[in-house]
Amino acid sequence: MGDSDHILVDRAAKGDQKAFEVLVRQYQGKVAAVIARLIGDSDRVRDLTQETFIKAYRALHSFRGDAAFYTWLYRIATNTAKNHLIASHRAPLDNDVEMDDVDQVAPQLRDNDTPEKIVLQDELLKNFEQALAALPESMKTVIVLRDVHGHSYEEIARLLQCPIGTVRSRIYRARQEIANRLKHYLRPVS
Amino acid sequence: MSCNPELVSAFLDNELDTVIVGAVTEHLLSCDECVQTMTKLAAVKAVMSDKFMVHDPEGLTLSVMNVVTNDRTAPPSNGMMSFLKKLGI
Ligand SMILES: [Zn+2]
Repeated sequence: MGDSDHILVDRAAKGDQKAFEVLVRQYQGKVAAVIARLIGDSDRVRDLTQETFIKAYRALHSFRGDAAFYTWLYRIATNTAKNHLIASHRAPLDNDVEMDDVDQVAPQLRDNDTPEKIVLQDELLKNFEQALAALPESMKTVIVLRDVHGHSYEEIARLLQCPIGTVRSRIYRARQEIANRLKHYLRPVS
Repeated sequence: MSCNPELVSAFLDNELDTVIVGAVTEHLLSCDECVQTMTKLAAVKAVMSDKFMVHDPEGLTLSVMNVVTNDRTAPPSNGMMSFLKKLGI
């Protein structure tokens, strides 16, 4: 487990809600994406993401530090999504996510998978693609190497033959730039 | 430690040097501005890698924390733990 996860989980388990809040902020996007891949129903993604974190909070005392916190959270998220699908008699959308249980419940529905269907609202995706395309090439390259291909800062620095500090700052500036362009979606829905 | 959004971004990537990760974590626990920055940057990271983004991520955090704050089945606090220990539970 990453040092920060360790510190935060430890504190949250002892009742420090601010520590849990930092974990929510850190992981809610990933959790929502996992749920969206499984259920494809964007209206429910928010509720189920919330449900996942509340379950995690209530179960924190049972979390053993030998696994990564996110792995544990991921399991709660997939179970929450599966339970939702079972309750609504549907099969999950994404074949990549472990879903043996769901297979047993509703194998006949698997052929209807439409993974790309509602993963992201078209409009948001279009805006995101534009924001990414508008980045200077040097920023675009690092952010894609990091977030799409999953390279470490050190690997990126080696690939691009630049200092690691440059990688770090370009990644930050690229994210900030995209956030500015997507600020409409980052604000409360009015 | 003062606000440094670049370190917050690196925090999300688990790319902070071991020597500063503790200080950045402490800072996040006490700085509203930096956790809000983190929420935005994390949303962008999710859209980059997973092609999905929740609308109003700040609002989502607040609604989770609203339930957590009022939760009666919450993890016991330190005080509660020692109280239970005293009782031999
Ligand atoms: Zn700060």
